[in-house]
Amino acid sequence: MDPKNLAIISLRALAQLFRSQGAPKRAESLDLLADGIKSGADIDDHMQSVADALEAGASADWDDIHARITAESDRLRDR
Amino acid sequence: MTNKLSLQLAGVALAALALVGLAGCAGTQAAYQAADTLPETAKVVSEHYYALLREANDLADAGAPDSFVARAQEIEREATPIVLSLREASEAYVAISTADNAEALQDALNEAVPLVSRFVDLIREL
Repeated sequence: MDPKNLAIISLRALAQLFRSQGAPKRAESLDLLADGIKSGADIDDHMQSVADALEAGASADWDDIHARITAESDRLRDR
Repeated sequence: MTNKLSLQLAGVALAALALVGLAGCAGTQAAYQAADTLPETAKVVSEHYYALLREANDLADAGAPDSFVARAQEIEREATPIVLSLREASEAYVAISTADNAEALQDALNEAVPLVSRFVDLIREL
């Protein structure tokens, strides 16, 4: 199993254990740590696909890239 | 490729690699290393920014502190226009590969990379 996935699963399980024992703040800290690791993995997965596309002589269209950036920018601004 | 352009590309690549750190980001490193030209680097930087924005949003949805969201919004306000400007500089260079257009694209990348780096740092600090 990928070490990052193992870490995420372990942290989530430990968070759940703390939650069941009435320690929600500890659980929340562990969940945020797992989220941080997962976010790194998600970013890296996306960038690996970008690398693969470049190696294959292709890349996303600028319209597509801009649409995705704009959508996520709007999503962040609208909070 | 001219020597000057080669140096510029190497400079951007080094800055980008520093941006992602040298451990634990294999896919991100691979993307920056796969970019052989300034326009390809512009797309990689843009894609990296997109991925960071998406993750900042997902972390906010998952309950990240308000302070994280506020900092992400602050960085986004400054970074998005600059990252989006990479397209114009890149397309101008692709259309007419003059030294001036290369320099303009290089300047745009030099402006965008540190801002993307701030997003990397923000997510790492969480």
